[in-house]
Amino acid sequence: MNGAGWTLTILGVIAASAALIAAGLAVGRLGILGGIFGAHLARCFKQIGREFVHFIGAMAVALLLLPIALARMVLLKPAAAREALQSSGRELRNAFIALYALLVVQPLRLLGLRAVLSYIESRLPAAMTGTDATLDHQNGSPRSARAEFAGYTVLRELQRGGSGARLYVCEPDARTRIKIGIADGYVVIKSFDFDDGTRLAEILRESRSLDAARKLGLVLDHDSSERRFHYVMRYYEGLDLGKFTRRLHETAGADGLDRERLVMVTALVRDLVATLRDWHAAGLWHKDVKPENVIVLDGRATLIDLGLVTPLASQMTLTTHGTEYFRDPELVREALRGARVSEVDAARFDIYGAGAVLHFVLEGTFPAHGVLSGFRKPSPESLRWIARRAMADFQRRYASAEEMLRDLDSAIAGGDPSAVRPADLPSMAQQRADDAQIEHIAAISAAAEAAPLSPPISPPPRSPPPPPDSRTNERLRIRVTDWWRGTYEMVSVRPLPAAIPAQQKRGIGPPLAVLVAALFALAVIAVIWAWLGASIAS
Amino acid sequence: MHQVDTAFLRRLRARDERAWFELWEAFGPVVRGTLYRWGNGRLGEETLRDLTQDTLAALTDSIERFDPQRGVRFSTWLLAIAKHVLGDEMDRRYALKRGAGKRGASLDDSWMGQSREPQPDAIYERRVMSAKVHSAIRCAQKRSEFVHFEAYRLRVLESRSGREIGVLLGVSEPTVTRHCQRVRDVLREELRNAIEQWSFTEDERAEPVRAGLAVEDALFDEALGEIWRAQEEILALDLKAQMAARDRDPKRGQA
Repeated sequence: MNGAGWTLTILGVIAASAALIAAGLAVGRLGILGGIFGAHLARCFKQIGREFVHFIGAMAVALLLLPIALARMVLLKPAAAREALQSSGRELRNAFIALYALLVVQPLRLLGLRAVLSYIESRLPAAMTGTDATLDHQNGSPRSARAEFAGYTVLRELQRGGSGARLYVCEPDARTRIKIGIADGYVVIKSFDFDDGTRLAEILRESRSLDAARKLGLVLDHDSSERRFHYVMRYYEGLDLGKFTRRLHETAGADGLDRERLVMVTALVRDLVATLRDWHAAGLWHKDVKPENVIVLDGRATLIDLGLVTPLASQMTLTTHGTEYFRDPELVREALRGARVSEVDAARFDIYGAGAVLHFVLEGTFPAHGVLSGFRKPSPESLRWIARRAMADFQRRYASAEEMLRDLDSAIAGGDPSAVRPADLPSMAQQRADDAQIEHIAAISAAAEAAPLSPPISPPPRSPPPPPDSRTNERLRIRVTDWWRGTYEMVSVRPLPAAIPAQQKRGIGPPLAVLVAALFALAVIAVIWAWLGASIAS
Repeated sequence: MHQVDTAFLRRLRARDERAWFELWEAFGPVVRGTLYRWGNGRLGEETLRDLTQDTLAALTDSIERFDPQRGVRFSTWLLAIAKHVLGDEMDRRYALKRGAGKRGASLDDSWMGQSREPQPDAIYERRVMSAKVHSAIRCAQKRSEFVHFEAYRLRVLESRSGREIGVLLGVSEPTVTRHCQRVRDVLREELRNAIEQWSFTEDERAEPVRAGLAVEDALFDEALGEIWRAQEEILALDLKAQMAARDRDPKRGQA
């Protein structure tokens, strides 16, 4: 085959792959069967395309290694030649695995028979060696420690959390998707296994909030056997707020965050506080609010990690679990006193955590000294005020997440938190009214003492809040373009605040265009091939 | 004569965990900072953290034997324990280096004096005093209305004018003055309590006077602001060290 032939082959492979992927995407975006079937097809086509590329690549490398091995043999380097041959063999094996996946696994997956194949794959070796894997699995012997969950395909394992449980990113099959009610995306399974050293106390701690967490939609599914307990949550693949904030600060310089970034990070904290409000309303307390437990995805913040979630009405004694610097010192005092959860308003501990997170996003460092932690970088007074108020003494901080949320909304509503004074925050309205009343009474008393007949002094007029800027009275949304470098772009704006906006509809146009272009390219390549073949023959 | 056997000491002796928590909260950064300086950079953050915890543990053991009637200062007592713990660590290191059975450097060996910075005594005493003031500020913050305390913070720490604070808080200037006066009164009281609680000798109890904290309001604010800012610098250094330790071990601090 000459150079033109090779070029055409490579171009053909690229065009074919692009066509397959584009076809998958196009079909996936049609929204058939509520998106489930489409997403399934899209995934399958994508996988088929990928396997095809793997097969071609591995075959090419394997074939390339053969002349190299031959050359080494000629140069009397048998060891090197053997290495090249072995590598070639490995590549051939990879190529055949890819081919097997391409011709057998993916088509079966396309037909929804992947689970059958998985079962055969797992059972066949055991059946050949005479052991009964199913029995072992059911009884929960050490084999049950393997990451196998009915209805889910384990993709990878995540780093273990503080509780010692194992975390797996999994893909539910189509039937399970319908059962747990998610059309797309992956799930994370938190699995506690006695054979992995999990203690009963840890399982009990995790399971006591499960019902409430299910009602909130945080836990999608759960199951337990004699030796293992696991539950399923949605997987959010994003950057945690800690890393996200650090990168923002690294690129921001010594002057702190600019207005856009300030609004952006405050909006993320706003999402966090809104989540806490919902959790508290459902009678739950997160207990480990910190930047690492907040995932930033598509410009929204999602609170994760149910490891320490506790019912607010729990009769259990308070423990000092949590993370230093984001855990309220008052929690430690109350725990040392031996107080029960139900005896304290534990939701306020979460509010402290939210205040500490706000301090963190403004400063880029954690508030090691609670409410007395200083602000060293420039930031709006209103946001500092909110952070301090949330971290203030237990009785003096925000009484509820709702109250803090109103202040946050007010601070970012105009698009410029620097233009908002602490006095303009809703939580200050009552305080100001009280102070004005006291001042008024004091002024009357003083006036009465000085000149009994002088008219009473009216209270000072309340200064109106600054008018909102109509150009910026919308919340900026961001889309992170490079997680590694922390770069992002403003993709849209949406009005504050209300409910979570519906997911943006993705158009079918671009994938169709790519598909047509790829098919056209394939046709052109085929024509050139034919022409080349004809000219060589003549 | 001041009753040296304070209620706080009694609480420590009774193994009141909250009293130990208060001690740690107030003086943890000072002990950490002092050990760091003495270690001359030879002590890693992790070792330092362990040593600080060891210091507190040693305090728990020694509290039974402590006799305040002998006239020892609170700061000296804390320092002696820290020295003892650090000495143990250095002994252990030298012993490991040179082989078993040989005694390492003593507490007063030259390695502690190798630093070109001022001797730790003066700096250490200043830091202990600052820690006491900071503890008082913390208590005053707990007792005061949030808005009142913030007004005082803006006035004293950030040196904002009464008018400016009034605009920020949406109140008149006289109201700001009243807020500040309330907090100042609470602060004076808490300062007396803190000094009483954390001092064993008359000399220690006289420190606030020497620091300018027993004077009229304007000078009191000025002196307090100065100490507060100095303590903020210490806390910022402590924070930097903690951040570095946390970056190396992200799971640190999870309980």
